[in-house]
Amino acid sequence: MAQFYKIWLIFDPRRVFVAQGVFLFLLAAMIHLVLLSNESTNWFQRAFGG
Amino acid sequence: MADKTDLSFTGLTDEQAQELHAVYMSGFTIFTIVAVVAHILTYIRLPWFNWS
Repeated sequence: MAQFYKIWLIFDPRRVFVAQGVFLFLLAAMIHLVLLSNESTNWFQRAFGG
Repeated sequence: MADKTDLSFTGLTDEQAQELHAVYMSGFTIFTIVAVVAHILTYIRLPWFNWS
């Protein structure tokens, strides 16, 4: 565990930060949309629906 | 004189990598805390695992 910092000797931090940012954004967007696509987990439907 | 050069594809020294890693890990910790709090609050409102 203590040696994890060495990852930055291998992967360029700038590229990792951009790639991770894009990946996490897309993942979060996907999960929110999946939940919205389901009737029982669509929080707008539950809040304002019939 | 063959100085002891560790393998570094990114050109960072060990110290720089450790310094960067400390900052990265603090950001990661904050992100994780926010995510855990968000999941707990959401689960209170909408318990998505208790299907029976």
